[in-house]
Amino acid sequence: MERESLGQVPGVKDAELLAALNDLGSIPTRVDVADRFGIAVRAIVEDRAQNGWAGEDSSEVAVFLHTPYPREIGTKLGAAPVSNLIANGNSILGKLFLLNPDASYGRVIDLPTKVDLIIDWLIDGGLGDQPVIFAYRKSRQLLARGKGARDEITRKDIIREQPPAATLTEINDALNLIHSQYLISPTVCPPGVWEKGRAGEYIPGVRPEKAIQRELAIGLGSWFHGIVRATVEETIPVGRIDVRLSYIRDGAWAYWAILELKVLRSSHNAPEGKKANPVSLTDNAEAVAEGVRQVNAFAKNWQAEPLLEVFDLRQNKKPNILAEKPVTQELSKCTPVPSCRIWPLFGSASDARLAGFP
Amino acid sequence: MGDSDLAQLEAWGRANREALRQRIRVIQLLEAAERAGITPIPTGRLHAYAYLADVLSPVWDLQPFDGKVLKVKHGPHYPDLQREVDRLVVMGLVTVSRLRYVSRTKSGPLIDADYAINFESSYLGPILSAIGAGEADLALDARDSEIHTFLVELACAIATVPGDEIDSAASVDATYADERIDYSNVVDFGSWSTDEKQDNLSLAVAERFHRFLPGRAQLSAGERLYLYASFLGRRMNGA
Repeated sequence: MERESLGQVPGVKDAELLAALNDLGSIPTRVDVADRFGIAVRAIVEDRAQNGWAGEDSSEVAVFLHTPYPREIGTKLGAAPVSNLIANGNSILGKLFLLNPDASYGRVIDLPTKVDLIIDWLIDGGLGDQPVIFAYRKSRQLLARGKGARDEITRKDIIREQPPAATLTEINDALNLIHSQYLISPTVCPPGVWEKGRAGEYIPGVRPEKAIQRELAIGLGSWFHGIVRATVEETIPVGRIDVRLSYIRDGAWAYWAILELKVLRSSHNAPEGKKANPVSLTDNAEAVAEGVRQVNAFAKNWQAEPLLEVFDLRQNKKPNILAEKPVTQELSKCTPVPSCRIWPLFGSASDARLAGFP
Repeated sequence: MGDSDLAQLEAWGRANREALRQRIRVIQLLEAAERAGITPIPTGRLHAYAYLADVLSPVWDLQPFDGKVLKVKHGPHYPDLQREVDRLVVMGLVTVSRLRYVSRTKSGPLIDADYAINFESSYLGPILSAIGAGEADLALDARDSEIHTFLVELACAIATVPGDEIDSAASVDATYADERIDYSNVVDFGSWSTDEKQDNLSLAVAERFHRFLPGRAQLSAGERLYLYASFLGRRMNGA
């Protein structure tokens, strides 16, 4: 809980605080270390890409390892100190970085072996459990193994050659990416969306909205790092699930967009061995109508873009919930009408493929 | 054992308890600095970090280790902490490098050096666990795990300021630079102070940031530390 702030602080101008707040979009958000590291590394790599990879030689790959004690490992490997990777502009390709959680300080060595053998090299060297990210210039890919080299790839991002811009088109692009890579089927989506072992029966987790909300906050935070703050508000009244995007407008932080999240279900949550009670079409429609009311009210209060994002966990994706009467009635009261999108989530990878998703 | 012997023994115990507290503090600070990648850390930077850890502890809802400091021109310096740093070097738990002699005309000479944790010490692992820098459930005092989390977050926040500027970061800190307190006076932000919000201006700054955010938007304690580091960085560069 925030304490009540004092008024103006003696000897400190509010202009100084406002200037510091310019950095808020780049400050680490409330995510775990692997995601925090991933967001920071992405900013470094894209900085180089956006500068045309200036100063790089013919090397194609850079490897970034988060290690609890960069100096300890670095000393054993004869590594050199490195700091402020964005500001220093030094070359990154052909190198292995051993860095702190913000990828801001640490050690660096030339890649100690062939790229194909790096994973083995890390595992053999006792570094196989630390978050590691591989940046490939030619294919423009950033592949993260959040649980370490010995584990699977947890995130894939494209290295962007243009900096992100706070536009609705880019929100859409970001949501498409998050949906297709991190939500669409149980093999990729985070724990909590589906009840463990029962995704095939289309039985959702206890609070799937929370798991989806977290994924959106990380994905949008990474996409817009530096210019937009993606937050999950924790003091909102029970029942509100949203992601708020804010940016600097006319010299001050302002809300830019509100993403209200709603989930459509075939049934309520039920653990293994218990019968799951069905959720009616009316209940789903009422939930979405409530979402329309909430996003509309928030957007009016804060002059923010209203975005209603509906995640469809139903086995049968029809009928179209947006055509149901409670929803159309609410939408007819809104000016402007909020953007409403439905994102289908499937209980198995094969169902996703059958529905036309690769 | 006579009364005087007992009093002497109690005094010895008190003195050593304080030394032990300081020693643990040094290891906690250096271990967090290792995690942030800012080691080996020069003397001035270590003391600046120790000061910022004290003055910003309330941001994390923690009590400062030491709620006061003598205000001197070259920035905060804690003789007790330095004494324990030196002892830890002798004990083999801290390494020293770039030992150098700094000549100062008015304040007398100063021995400067860079310090780091000695990862080769066989005692290190159990000590780190006991003081909250290892597995959380191995800490002798659960509060130490929270202190550790705070110190690592603060060290990472400070690491956003270029290395050579960290040394002087404390000198532009809102509390230390408070013009109402002259040099050679004690800056009290949490020892005898009865009004933390009046006397700890650094805390007041860290808590004022959210006033400039829309609606009821909140800042986490970590975000406030990073914003405060940004505030210090800009102050040093006159921005």
